[in-house]
Amino acid sequence: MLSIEAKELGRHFKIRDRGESLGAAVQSFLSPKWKIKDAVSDVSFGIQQGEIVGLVGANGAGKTTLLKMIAGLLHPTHGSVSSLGFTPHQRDKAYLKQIGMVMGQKSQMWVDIPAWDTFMLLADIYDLDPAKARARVEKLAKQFRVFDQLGVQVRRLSLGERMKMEIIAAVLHEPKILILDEPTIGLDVLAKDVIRNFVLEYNKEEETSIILSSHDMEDISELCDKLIVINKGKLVYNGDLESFSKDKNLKQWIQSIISEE
Amino acid sequence: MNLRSFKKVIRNTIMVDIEYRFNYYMLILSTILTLIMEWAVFEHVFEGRQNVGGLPASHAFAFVLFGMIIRTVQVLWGKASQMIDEVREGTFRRYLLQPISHPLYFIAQAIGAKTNTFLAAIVICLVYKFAFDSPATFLSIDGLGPTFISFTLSCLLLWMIYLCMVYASFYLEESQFLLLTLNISIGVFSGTVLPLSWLPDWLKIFLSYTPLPLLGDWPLRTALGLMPSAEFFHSLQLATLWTAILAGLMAILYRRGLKRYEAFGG
Repeated sequence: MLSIEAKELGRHFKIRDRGESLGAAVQSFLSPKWKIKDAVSDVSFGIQQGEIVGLVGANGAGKTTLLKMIAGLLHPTHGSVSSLGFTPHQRDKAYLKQIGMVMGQKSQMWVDIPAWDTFMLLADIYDLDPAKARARVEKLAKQFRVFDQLGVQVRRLSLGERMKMEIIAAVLHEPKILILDEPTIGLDVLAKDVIRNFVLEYNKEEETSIILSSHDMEDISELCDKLIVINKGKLVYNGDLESFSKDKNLKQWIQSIISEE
Repeated sequence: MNLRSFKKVIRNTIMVDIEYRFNYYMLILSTILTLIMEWAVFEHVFEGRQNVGGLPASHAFAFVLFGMIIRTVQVLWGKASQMIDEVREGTFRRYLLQPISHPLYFIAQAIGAKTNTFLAAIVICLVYKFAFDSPATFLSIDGLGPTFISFTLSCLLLWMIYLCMVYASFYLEESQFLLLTLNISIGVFSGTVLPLSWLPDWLKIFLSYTPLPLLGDWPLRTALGLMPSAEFFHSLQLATLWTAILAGLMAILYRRGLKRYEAFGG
């Protein structure tokens, strides 16, 4: 059964068309011009429950826009997406309780207080049993080797520690869909390894569908069963990773697209 | 959003507040200094006179004190401004990923952010009530209930107005100017800096069609014992009506705003 299904999904943005100088800014203020940018256009795919899917593309290809539509953060401008039987942008609370998302640099932690306090708040928001939530936080923190940092203000943590806390926050409520938007960005090799091992173990234990967006092809090759490639908002490849790896021409072409800026 | 998480948001916000002790000490110091300055101004205004504009000298300072406390406890300009920036920068999405009601979340944060200020305000009021020459009607036993009701509703009304301005940023991208306009309006037209009775009649009539007098004048005159019961209950009805209007406006702005919310970029 498909846990996520997108049919001709698309999203465009209306952005102001202006130049670079002060004069251009004044002209834009007096007589604004707009242009339409197609961030995602006619993308169709399906993800089975329990699959780990890699989402790759060059900067500005539309990866994050696509993930936001699956998470319900953005309304599509055309097409449809269904996730666990819900329409994500309707933001049904029952749906929100089943998804988790980590977005690289954007935090859901309260930075001025220890991570533990954010986790306990999330436990209440997701209606988790307090004792089970505490035990889960401790287990995850030990797994990520950040148990001793639970009582430290989040803003005082290193980037790697903070990212681990973000992942704990995203999986605390045992979501059925986990969206990871560049979770290893800026991290050292050891931290990346810890996160990759966690993703594999977590997927195995919970059979969670995981969508991983990353520029790091090692993340994709070590973790993903399937690959979706987006270029300039359009779907370029949707298939299993093994076929992709065996087809050298396809692999070269897609790598050239990804590295194209 | 359940009650447990509502209480936990309040608790976490209080923790953030007391994390920065210097901020807190500066708040108390600035409150006391402003009080002293306003007292000096009113001393000068009342020199040689029994009352000014119908307000006796003995009530004037109570007016100044409680007006300032109301403003200090109510005003959440910083938090609202921060939230407008979150909408513009895209970090607002963290509220959208969680199964919460954002208005209730904001109100819980408001209560948490103002709890320490409120406790300090109670101490200042009690000290003034019992240690200085306060009017007998200031925070009298009979008036405590109505004062609490009017004060609570005035805070809720103002926070809902702030939320409308935050949600306006879904449409306008930048709505800080609305906050600035509101802050100026509250200062002049809510009755916490100058009594509304000092304003011209045409302006009083105009303001009666807005929620502004309910933000300051209503709890202030209730605390001073200057509001007759009939007028209190009429204001209570108006406050209830405005709460319903603002709740409806908030819901519309929020739901429609989310459809337009682009959070463009990564």
